[in-house]
Amino acid sequence: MRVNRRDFLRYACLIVPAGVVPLSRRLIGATAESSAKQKYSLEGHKYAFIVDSTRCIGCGECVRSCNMENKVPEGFVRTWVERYTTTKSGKVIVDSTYDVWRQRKKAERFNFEELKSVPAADISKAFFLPKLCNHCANPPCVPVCPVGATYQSPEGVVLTDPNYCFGCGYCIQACPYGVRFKNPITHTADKCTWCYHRIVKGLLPACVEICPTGARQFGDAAIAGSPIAQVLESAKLHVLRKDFGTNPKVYYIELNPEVR
Amino acid sequence: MPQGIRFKDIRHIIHAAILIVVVMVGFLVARALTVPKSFGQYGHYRGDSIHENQDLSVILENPETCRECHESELKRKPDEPAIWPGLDAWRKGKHGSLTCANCHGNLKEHVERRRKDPTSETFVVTKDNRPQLCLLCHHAIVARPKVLPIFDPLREEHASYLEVLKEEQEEVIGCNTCHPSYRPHDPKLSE
Ligand code: HEC
Ligand code: HEC
Ligand code: HEC
Ligand code: HEC
Repeated sequence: MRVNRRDFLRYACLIVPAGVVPLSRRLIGATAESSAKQKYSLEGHKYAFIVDSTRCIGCGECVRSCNMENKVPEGFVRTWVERYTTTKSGKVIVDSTYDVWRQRKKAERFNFEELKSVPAADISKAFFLPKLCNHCANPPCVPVCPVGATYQSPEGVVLTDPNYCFGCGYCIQACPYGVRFKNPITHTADKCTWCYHRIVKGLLPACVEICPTGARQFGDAAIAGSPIAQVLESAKLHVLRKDFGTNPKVYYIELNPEVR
Repeated sequence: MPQGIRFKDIRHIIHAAILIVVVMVGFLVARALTVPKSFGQYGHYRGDSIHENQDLSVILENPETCRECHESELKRKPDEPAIWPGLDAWRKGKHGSLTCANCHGNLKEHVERRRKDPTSETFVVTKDNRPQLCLLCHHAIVARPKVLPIFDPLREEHASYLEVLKEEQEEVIGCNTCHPSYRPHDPKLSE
């Protein structure tokens, strides 16, 4: 077949739009359709989580309520409490609600037990420390995802997309705080969402709601004068592993140097 | 065509160009078919995922939900004091910082069923009254902050719980025989 330049251009003009038109239809159609139904605004929020570890009593109710609220499969947790016990000789012993659960194989409650390995007289200092996803401003888990199934929402909450994730596990490896795990039911990455489905409805995350002592606090610092905005301004706050440069949005009031 | 250049001479270029166009169009079509609809709406992810995450159902109830029906005290018998003192009185009490779910568990079903059928006799809520529950928060384990009232097993009234602490015995009298659930601070001493 002889193809001259005129014919070539003619065919090209027919073939190329045939591919491009459906593509652009998809893109334009999608944006127009789903932006209309929202009442909650994705803009203008600055959520922050404050952990006052001096108030934590280690009851583990946060873990239980989180598992109930988020239907976390048995044997996994999205948040947990650690106990740091320093002996007189300077040794630091760390145990967590998660270990206790593992030993007892009981999912009902997540409380601590008496520390049997050290006599009470040997202990110089001990405290509880709740941990959860830090919702880093600079999250190491997001850029490693090959398909964009984990992301930062416009408000800065780090979320996963279980319907798009295919479970490669890179994000689980990338998280320096170890908050991610592979959900054995969906086979996708799973993590704390700060109860995103609750906070968009104006409720508190389940662990904050249930905490009997106010060791966990949550709020929108964009609202001027809100308790959380005041704490953020006034108190001297710490973050876990500041040297990693992840800029966590979970702040700790008092963070002892033993904490890892 | 300019003089001296015949189609035969540039055919390989045109073939290559056609191939490139076909591959590009093929890529664009394949991309349009496989990339989800809302991808890129807010960023490099499915925009719909945000809405899916928002639409998950709420389970843990806020005590304010109970105000709808339990705002005032629940008097069972006219001559006995009410157990449930009403929401505002409860808030002022020493256990006011707790949540109903600490002892009543998952209340979603209760709220939904009571909204439909307020008088049903059949349906009951979990009312966890095991000493293990109280000890979850009050047991004197290492690292409990000083401000928390600690259960002292050496106290005479508490002697019967020494077995509970060792997890040897499951059934004992509830702590609320002396510490009423909603007024833990005034232990009515048992006779
Ligand atoms: C739509 C109304 C309604 C709401 C909302 C509601 N309740 Fe109730 N609840 C009732 C009714 C009606 C009873 C039965 C009272 C009776 O037995 O006289 C009841 C009984 C109870 C009982 C005693 C059950 C028993 O078996 O003795 C508990 C505990 C309770 N509610 C807790 C709660 C808590 C906690 C909440 C908040 C999450 C709540 N309820 C919200 C209507 C409601
Ligand atoms: C410390 C645990 C605890 C907490 C927290 C708690 N309850 Fe209860 N509640 C109980 C127990 C135990 C009973 C069973 C009655 C008793 O004390 O013997 C009960 C009974 C009730 C009853 C029925 C009273 C009756 O006369 O039968 C109502 C209503 C009730 N609770 C509502 C609430 C609401 C609403 C909240 C949250 C605002 C709440 N409770 C929080 C432990 C608790
Ligand atoms: C989820 C944790 C939690 C559970 C479960 C719990 N408590 Fe408490 N309790 C607390 C906290 C926190 C305080 C301290 C409140 C304060 O000082 O403001 C407290 C205070 C008390 C006090 C001291 C009140 C005072 O005079 O200062 C007693 C007694 C008490 N609880 C008994 C009980 C009993 C009995 C139960 C079981 C029915 C129970 N608690 C279950 C967390 C809990
Ligand atoms: C036989 C009655 C009785 C029983 C049962 C009982 N207590 Fe007590 N409890 C007392 C008395 C009396 C006190 C002293 C109250 C005071 O000093 O004001 C007390 C004190 C306490 C305190 C310290 C309160 C404070 O203000 O520091 C806690 C915590 C406590 N009890 C928890 C429990 C728990 C948990 C249980 C169940 C495992 C329980 N009690 C069962 C009678 C009882």
